[in-house]
Amino acid sequence: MVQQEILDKSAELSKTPILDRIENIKEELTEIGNEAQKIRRLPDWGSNTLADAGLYRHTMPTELGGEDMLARKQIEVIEATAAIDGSVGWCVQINSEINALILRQMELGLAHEIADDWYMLVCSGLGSPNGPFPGREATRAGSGWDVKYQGAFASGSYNATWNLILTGETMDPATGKQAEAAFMVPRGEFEVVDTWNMAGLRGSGSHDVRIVGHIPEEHTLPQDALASTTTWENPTHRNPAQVPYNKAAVALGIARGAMDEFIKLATHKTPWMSGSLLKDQPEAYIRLAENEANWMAARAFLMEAQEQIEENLGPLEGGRSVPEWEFGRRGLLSSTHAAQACRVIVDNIHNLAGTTASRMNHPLERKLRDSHQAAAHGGVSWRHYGALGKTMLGEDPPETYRTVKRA
Amino acid sequence: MVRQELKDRIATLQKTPMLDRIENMREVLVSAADEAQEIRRLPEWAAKEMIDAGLYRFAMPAELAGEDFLAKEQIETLEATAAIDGSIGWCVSINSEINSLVLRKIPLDLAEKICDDWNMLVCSGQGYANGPNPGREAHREGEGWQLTYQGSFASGCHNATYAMVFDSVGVPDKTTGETAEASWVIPQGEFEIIDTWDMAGLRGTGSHDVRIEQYVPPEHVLPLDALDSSDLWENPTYRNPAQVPYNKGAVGLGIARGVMDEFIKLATHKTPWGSGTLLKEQPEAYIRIGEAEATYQAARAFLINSQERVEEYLGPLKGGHSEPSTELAQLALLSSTHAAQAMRHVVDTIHNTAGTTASRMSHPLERKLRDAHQAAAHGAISYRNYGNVGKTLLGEEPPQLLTKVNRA
Repeated sequence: MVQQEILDKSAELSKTPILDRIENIKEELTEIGNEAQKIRRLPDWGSNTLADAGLYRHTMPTELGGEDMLARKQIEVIEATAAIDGSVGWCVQINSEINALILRQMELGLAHEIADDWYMLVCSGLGSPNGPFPGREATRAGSGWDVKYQGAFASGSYNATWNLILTGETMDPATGKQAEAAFMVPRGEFEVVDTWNMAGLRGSGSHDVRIVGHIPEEHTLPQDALASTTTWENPTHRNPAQVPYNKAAVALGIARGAMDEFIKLATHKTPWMSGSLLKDQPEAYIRLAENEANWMAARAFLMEAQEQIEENLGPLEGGRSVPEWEFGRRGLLSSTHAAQACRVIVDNIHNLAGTTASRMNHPLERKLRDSHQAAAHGGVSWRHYGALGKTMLGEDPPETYRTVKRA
Repeated sequence: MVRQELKDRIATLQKTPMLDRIENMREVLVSAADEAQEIRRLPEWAAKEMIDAGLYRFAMPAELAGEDFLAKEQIETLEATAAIDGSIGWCVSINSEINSLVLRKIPLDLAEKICDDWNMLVCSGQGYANGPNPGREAHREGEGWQLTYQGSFASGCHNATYAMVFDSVGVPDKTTGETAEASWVIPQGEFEIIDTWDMAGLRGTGSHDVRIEQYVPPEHVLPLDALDSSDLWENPTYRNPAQVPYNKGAVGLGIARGVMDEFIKLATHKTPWGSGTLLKEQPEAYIRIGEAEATYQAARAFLINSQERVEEYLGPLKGGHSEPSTELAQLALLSSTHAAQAMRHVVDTIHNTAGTTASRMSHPLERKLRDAHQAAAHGAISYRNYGNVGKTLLGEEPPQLLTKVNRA
């Protein structure tokens, strides 16, 4: 069972609204963001600071020391942290997300074991491995499994207490099919392989993770580990758009941060040879307002669509396990839209700021890189426009849109 | 006089078309660019190789050992180099440009002195000085001037044989309180480079500050309006007020061309994770690259066409015009701005279409995103020009920038 001490700690934190908690550690988050750029991951002290502010647990059930936040609040949290720094916001979203995703079908005993550590942080490297790797297979061995695996994009891997390997990522050589299990691997039993050398979201530590070892039965999850839950009341655990809206929230935050930085700049920068402050130049204030409107619209669509899904899902008992497609599609479309629209906003604002935005010491420099990488994630890629568009023209939605398949 | 040896060297170079010369040294340029990212400037060996290929002299008059290229060939040259690397293309653009700008009103003996050095490369730091600086001031001293100055954005300064300081940067004359009635060229060794260029975009251009605290003798003094329309050189480039903007537009085009070429290579072998098909077979990918190609071709055609119309209008030096009509000047500036801004959009979109690969530090698209943004931030092709030109379309008097060059 999760110790009372952890439940009390979370309850105490909840007395301070989470946006205030974030504001209260803004300087630390800025410093974490800066250090993370250099070491290409969040520093340990930084990750602990986030954990101590409840930034990885806010979506988890209160019974497990979480705060059971709904989508709107989750988006606000992620947005606020990403507005300060993209990599920090990215780690908040993906590790809080995986902390919740693993619980969907998990045995309660394992859930309590994992959550009974204040610094609980689950990562998951799912992408195609980079460089030489030991293969991807899982073979039954007694009641457990012998696993060889390497996967990319395990954001937060250096700070993780557990790593999740999803079904579909490993083959069972005995059957020639996907292994009929997902796996939880504790820290010390997975290796971080240094492969994350990127421009965008550079500080997120999204390296490969490698596992060659035995997974005992008690650390296995069902094959459909991320399917809609029958355990937890919070509709987040049944929302198939949870992964996409989290990514969109990061993009909203980066764009918010870019616009805020531009506003600060425009009130004192006089572009060379222009003769007036940037803020007094029509193109600047017209473009800023247009981008602000686009940002507000994307944000409103995202929030509205997720709230509609939550309403459509209803309570755990007597409600739906999956939203009706009309709502599910809006949940996905609004997520892709927010990420892609915010990428364009940051492109425009960066351009509007002029040469200043390219200076290595100016915040807009990093935000351009981060917004492009945030919009490149498969959960919110431009490819969803085509896939969702087909369903508007009569095609059946692909199965991947009905259940969560990845973080 | 410029020595015959230099003219012979140019004549030999001209036996190989410029675009072939660039293609022949592609690997050298790629290597130079990678090193430039590390040291934030072009390495000396690379600047020398580029000089030896004629990449800084092509807009100069033949009598000064140049190639007298017209706008179209200049744009093609800049585009080809910027497609390989943005910083390389930028240095070709701005240093070939200043090598010719300096000649517009120059006394002939000074022109011959500067040009009679095969390694001639003129830089100019004109922007606000970064950090502590000695101020900007000049006063007459005998026949010459005592000059105190620091300016930023002096691309190519480490490889420059001269730095140019001209009137529009507003160097006050201590005696009169007005703008000093002169421009100046300062030889290598008499200007100091202040390390201030630590940028993401066009990182390898070495666009640091230059500082001068020096007596400038009369033989290194140019007229106040040193960049005005020339009455010395036949090539209409020297009377085209859009020379500076179209050079920047050409760099934007080159970066976008390079991005599309890299994307095409990637799309033929990348299967985005979880998508199950090659990127090239995904409708959004081929629709987006098709639209981007059209946008690029249109911007390029508009840029080249408008400069050719300006050149046609300007006509020969004797009996022609000293400046284009307002209508043509509008088009020339508008097409330059459009090329740079439209190409920034193209690069943003294609970078996004390539997915996470484009963010890898080892992938060419990573650098090109930074470069496209910085190329579109230059004042000569800034989005602000849309407003400036737009006002004239609505009846306002054209601003001076339409008809007069006042910066590189």
